[in-house]
Amino acid sequence: MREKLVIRGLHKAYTINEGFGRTSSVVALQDVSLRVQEGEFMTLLGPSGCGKSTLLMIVAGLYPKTAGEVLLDGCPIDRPGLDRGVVFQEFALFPWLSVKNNIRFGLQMKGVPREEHDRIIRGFVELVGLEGFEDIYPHRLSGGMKQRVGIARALAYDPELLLLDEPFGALDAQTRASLQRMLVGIWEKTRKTVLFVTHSIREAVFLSDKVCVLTARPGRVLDVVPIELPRPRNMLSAEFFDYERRLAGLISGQLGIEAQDLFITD
Amino acid sequence: MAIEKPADLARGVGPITVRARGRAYATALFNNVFPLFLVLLLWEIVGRLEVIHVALFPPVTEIFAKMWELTVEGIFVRDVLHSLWRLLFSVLLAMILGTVVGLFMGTNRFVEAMTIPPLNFFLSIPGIAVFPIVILWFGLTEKTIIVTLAFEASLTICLNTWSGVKGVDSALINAGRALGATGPRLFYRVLVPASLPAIITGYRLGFSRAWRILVAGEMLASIGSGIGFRIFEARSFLASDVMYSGVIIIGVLGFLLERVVLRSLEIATVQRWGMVREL
Repeated sequence: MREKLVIRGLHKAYTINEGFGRTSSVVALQDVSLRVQEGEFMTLLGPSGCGKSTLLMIVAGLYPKTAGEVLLDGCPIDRPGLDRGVVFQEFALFPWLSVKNNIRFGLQMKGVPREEHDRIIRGFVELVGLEGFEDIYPHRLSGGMKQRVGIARALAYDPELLLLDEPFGALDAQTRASLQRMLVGIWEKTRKTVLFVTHSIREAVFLSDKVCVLTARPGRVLDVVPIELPRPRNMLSAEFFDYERRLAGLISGQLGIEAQDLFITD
Repeated sequence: MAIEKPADLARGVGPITVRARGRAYATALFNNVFPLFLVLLLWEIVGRLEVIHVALFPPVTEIFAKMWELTVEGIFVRDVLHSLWRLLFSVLLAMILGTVVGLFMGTNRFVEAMTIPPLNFFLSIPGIAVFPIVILWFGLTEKTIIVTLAFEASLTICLNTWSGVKGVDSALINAGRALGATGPRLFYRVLVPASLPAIITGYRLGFSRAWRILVAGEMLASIGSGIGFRIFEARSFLASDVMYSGVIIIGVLGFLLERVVLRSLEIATVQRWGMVREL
């Protein structure tokens, strides 16, 4: 296996403008190092505010980093690029474009020949199960369907790395479960390298090859836990629950709360 | 008519629904028209009673008779066309100028810093206040009216465009950047469509501000045509029926411009995309 993504000694500090010329500095990420193999499903898990989304956005090239290195296939990353596909929690679909044209956007930016667009779009519409909705505008879609478009849009131009920032966080439990299954299916079909952000322990265990647990602010890598469960995974099996308990222990340990409290909202 | 099946009645389909919808329209129409009709009726009665001198307050039937007469003679038609031409030409100029400058202001910090203070200052000047100065520049010509209208409308459009660009959801910009859009392509593929609701609001405001000034401008410049000019000229002949006719025409035209022209633009774009709530 080849190393797809290498993060070395990454620092991120925000300068907050408090008004009247005063500023203060917050350290979001401190000395984060992480390696993701080609074709691997890596999840960043941590309490809210630990900087996991910030880390993902830096890899996406959307936020600047303060220090350190981010290498994709050995090349340093400092700006957004079509070698990465990003799926946002708030969907961020373009409301003025139909489903079809949202998916087309990246193809146009990449300069994919026009005559190939329809074939590619049809393929991804089928992949995410949105047949018949190609000409609908996003505001007519439900949250789950919006995120299906979001995933199709991020994959259509064939990026090397798929980045998902709490993509199912805004969805109800049932929609969430069906999209998790769909994502695993897509990942098994396309074998993309995936970096996934979530604060749901169950989601992390269900989806990932490896779970990278971050500490509370400032975010540091606490542990990288490989999930050695056969797929398709059974959320009700004892082994599944062992992993959940182990990850909950890691997170609750540094939050100073009972591990079971982490499952209240899950 | 056949008796509806009970199941159909329960589901609310069939002739009942059609009749209910027809009745809803009729009610809405009645609710809007009836108060207006009452006002006109009261007007007619007061006018006929000659409580106020008939030269000041003619009965409404005489006003409509005069309106019809001047329309058939082609005078009102010509006035309306001239007024509309001035309005549309100057607002079109203002749209181009205001949108371009507003977009620049929204995307370039330096342009923004340099233009905001003067813009706010100019916005606090009613367009009609600069009218005498513009007359000095261009004389009593079409140009004078068009320049004043364009000045007024472009400032409003500019400010709305600017605030629209500033208010674009950063998630959409990030999505555009993540999808490989940079520089000019990010600008016209993401920023411009995303700020369209605000830009169209600016056009509506610009239109209504220009419409108000147009009438005043035509009165001041008195260049021989236009609905504002007609009202002002009728004053010197004490032709109150002409004046009232002109005012009514202005009201109806303004209403149609706003409701028909600008609403259609909105329905065809931002409302279809769900970027504004449907009314």
